[in-house]
Amino acid sequence: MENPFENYKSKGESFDEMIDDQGVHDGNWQLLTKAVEAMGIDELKRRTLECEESFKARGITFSLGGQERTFPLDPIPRIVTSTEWETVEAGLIQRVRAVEMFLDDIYSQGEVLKDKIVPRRLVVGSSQFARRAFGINNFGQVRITVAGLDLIRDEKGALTVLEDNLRTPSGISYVLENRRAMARILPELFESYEIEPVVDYPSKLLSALLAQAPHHVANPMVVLLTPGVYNSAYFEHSFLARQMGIPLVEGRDLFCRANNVYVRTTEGDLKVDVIYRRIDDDYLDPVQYKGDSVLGVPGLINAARANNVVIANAVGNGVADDKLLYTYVPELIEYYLDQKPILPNVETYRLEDRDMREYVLKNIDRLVLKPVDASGGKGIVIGPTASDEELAHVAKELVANPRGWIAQRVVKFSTIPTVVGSKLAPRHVDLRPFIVSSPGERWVLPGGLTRVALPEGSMVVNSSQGGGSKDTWVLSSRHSAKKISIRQTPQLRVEDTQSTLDFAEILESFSSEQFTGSDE
Amino acid sequence: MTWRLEITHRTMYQYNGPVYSSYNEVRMTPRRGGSQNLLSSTITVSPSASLYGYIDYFGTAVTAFDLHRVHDYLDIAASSHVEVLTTKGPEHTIDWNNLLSDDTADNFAEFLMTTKYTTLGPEVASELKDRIRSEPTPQDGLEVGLEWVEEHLSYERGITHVRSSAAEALTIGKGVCQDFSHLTIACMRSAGIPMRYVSGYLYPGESPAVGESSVGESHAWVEAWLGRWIGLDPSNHVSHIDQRYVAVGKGRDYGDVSPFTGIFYGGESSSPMVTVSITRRQ
Amino acid sequence: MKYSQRSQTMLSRTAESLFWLGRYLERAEATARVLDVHLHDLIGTTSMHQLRWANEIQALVGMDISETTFDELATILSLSKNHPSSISMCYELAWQNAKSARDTVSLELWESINVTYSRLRRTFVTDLGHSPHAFFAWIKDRSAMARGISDTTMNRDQAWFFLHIGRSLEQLDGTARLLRVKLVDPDGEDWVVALRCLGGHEAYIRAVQRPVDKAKAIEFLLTDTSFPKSILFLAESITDSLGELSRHIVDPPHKPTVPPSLARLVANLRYPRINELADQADSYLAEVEEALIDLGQTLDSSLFAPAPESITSHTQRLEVWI
Repeated sequence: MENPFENYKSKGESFDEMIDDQGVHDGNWQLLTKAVEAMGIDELKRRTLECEESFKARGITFSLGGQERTFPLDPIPRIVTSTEWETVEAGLIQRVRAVEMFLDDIYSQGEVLKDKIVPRRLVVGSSQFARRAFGINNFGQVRITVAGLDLIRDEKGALTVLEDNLRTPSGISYVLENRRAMARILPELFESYEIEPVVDYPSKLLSALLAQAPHHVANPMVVLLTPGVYNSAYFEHSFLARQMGIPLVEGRDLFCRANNVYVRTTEGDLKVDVIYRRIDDDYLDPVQYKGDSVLGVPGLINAARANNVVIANAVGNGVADDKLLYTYVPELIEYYLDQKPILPNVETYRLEDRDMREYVLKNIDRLVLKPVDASGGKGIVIGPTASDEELAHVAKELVANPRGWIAQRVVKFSTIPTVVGSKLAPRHVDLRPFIVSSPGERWVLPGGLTRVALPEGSMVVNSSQGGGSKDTWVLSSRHSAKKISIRQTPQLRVEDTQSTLDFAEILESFSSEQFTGSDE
Repeated sequence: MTWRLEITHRTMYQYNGPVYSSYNEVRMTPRRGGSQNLLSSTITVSPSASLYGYIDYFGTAVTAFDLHRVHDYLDIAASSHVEVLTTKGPEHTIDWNNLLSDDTADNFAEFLMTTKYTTLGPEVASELKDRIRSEPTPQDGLEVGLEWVEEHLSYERGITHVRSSAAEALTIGKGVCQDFSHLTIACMRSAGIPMRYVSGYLYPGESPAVGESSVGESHAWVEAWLGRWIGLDPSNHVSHIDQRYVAVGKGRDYGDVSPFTGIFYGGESSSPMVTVSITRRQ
Repeated sequence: MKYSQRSQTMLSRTAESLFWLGRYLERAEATARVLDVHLHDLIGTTSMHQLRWANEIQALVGMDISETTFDELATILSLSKNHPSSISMCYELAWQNAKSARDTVSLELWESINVTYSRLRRTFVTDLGHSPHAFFAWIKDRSAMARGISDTTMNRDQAWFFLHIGRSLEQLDGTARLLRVKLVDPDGEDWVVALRCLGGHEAYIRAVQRPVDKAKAIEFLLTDTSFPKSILFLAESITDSLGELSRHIVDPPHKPTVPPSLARLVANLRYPRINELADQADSYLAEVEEALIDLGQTLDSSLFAPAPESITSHTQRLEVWI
């Protein structure tokens, strides 16, 4: 059988997580490569395809331009050692803790502004600064129930923070579904690798939400607030609601009366205590924000102000998602915690500084330019690959609005073997870990969502732009290499499966022959 | 001199068609502190509702309420007793260096930003900046700016509306107190003078008799920061506000101090009937 | 209540979605059956006959009567994206309702509906031409599968009963409409076709053990409690489900009650005062209609509780400051 790893080598300056010039540098990959070699790429692809079909049937999809799409799963997992993960975990907790203290601060006394650590105009000039939610007493509570940071591994192999997402980060449902799928694709490996489980996430999140309920409530009602079935992350919302056993509500299911929030049920109106919302700030409460929003609940902000309901994540966290504020996070860690940052930032240039701006304009074709308030990779200009017109345009933009942009060094994301045709080839990846916080406890999901840019050389991992995903395996500290044996799936024999086959035939005759129109 | 004023501010909405529910916020309570003592204040709402009060980000007292019974009118009465002191005359010693320092710019960043109400075209803004800054002191600059507003805007009701911006008022050349305030703010901010918008009440006459009740006005003016906040009323060409002015809300522009906001479900409303009466009690 | 601290919360909106999910699944199947029966009987008939049947089908699915061929009609009712009774449209709406209640319908039911829906989306007129009978059979199978899955994978809690009431109500409506169409039919000979439209010909033979005639067929469709699509069977089934719901809904003011018109219908069919039910069919159908309207109102007002916020919202007009 052909070895799919034959000729596998890392490309360019990127760090490859499996091999370097001397061969496989991380011994933990060896079992995996052996398993894949023994299985053969065709079997691996067949198993993956089966999972993909099941994703489609179950509607594990996101919508893009009116189409329901699956997020392609690459069957080669990413492996992270327990030693490295311990550091990452500490770094993530440190970062979220500092940012949460910052948010608490700017929404109360503003000491960090008085001490001139962060310029006031950066905060008050942010479109995400929530004056309308000022005075909601989250003090001693949690502001960032769920954080999802974006990490990349740089050319030297160091995990580095690229972005903070403290509003309504998504992607966790794919982590959980990918793990389930991987247990079907490579069950043999789950016997040989001791992998930290991710299945605890929903119960950790539910506990965190329950722990934030107003103190006097004995048996809190927690709901998940979704913008509705047309939202691209609706699958995730319904998935989480199901997994936590809490009602999945839309704005029209809730209403406020005298600063209490109620949900309309068949048993009448029931009081709501905690809202895990997946709606942006601007749409939450038409009394305070967009008056024409039909997604939100009028009166919600004042109900929270009156401490009758807790909104998680807290309103106004977006200030800290601002990419210019990102450049201050290392300073915030020192200011609030008196610690050195464990996870570094990517070198970033602030354009309001005249010298830095000059430097950036001179080197614009070697940098990445990012709008400070966009997410999902929107509006990003990558210097080395951009056209002259694009560069001229963005140069003009950032001179006119230096507050609106940052510039970063082009980091070559690390690569991991990925199935391409009948071979494995290096593809660039990032990592979105999830941190769940409740009063007194922060929990980091072991691993997170590894996103992979499928086109060769691409570093755009967004699902909307041709990205796929991989399962992320954090090895348990108990893990020790074991032997592995691969079972070839026996081909189904017709006489064994008579009853199933009849049924399948009926379905297939319609789906594949007579009723197959154009393929999507 | 200290005056004691009694203010009654009534707002009546008549809806054509039944309204099933509504959620509202009222910003009509005079501020405490500074040159004002708030002796008492009440807000009553009909149909009756339970009221919830809080102080917003800019320090303005807010009264929130919601209605859930079918209704076709809404009547809000805000009344208060306020003691207003005359503030002392000008003592502005700040010079341009201090005013334009990074420190001041950062401390007052919020009141130097342009907002959708207070944005001017880049040419106008840059011309104003040069003119104002060429004056020897910020105080002189302020006066030059006020003259410019006076030249470019004349007082006329019914031309602009509640959502008009400074730029729109400038194009038309006419407006009311809100437009004067926004244009003044836009003008001064372009030169780096921190400015804020003030909503409140103005006693109409010069020196009222005690006990005599007059038809007052809900009004808007501005404050400029020149080492301390100085109140001035561009629509009445008053460069130092006195005890006839009772402040309610302060913010970056009208959007932060809107006296009544809310949404309702059901029939449509006509424009509200508003009356303000002010009586000097002492 | 035994296991968890909170009783199962059922959103009014979700209850409504489940109800409509039941109705649309049932309607898709009913349309498939009607088309399939008529398709089968078309073979070797005259064009006069065909035209009459086309009209009859239109009446059965509640379309305006117009001159059309059976083929055209079959295409519209299978794949039209606008007609509310078309199979394609029913599945689209069923899918939307299932999606909106996705935290409540069982995963397997959702998966089954999702698969049917996405295959239907890839089905075109040309595909239908090959074998319409196979298409209708497939739809019947998929509907039976959805029903079987919901019955075996969903707890008998509020969710299932709302789904079930939707299903039964749609069936009740379907049987009543069939009777109405056939009663006004001057030529009363094809009651066999009528029974087959409900998949009830065999059931009739088993239960009545006599050749099909108008009077017996009407009696069978109105009162036979062994036939799951008879008016009486369905009316009783809905009554029972409402009873079950009120057992699950603890709070007295929100317990659903059986509308008096439905109770009267059940009583009148169970204990008819005269022997010749067929002569009174019209008045029974009027009672069914009344019961359906009352049922709809009961559900709408006490359980589905439409949000007042669905009424247009306005921002309070601002004061102009002088």
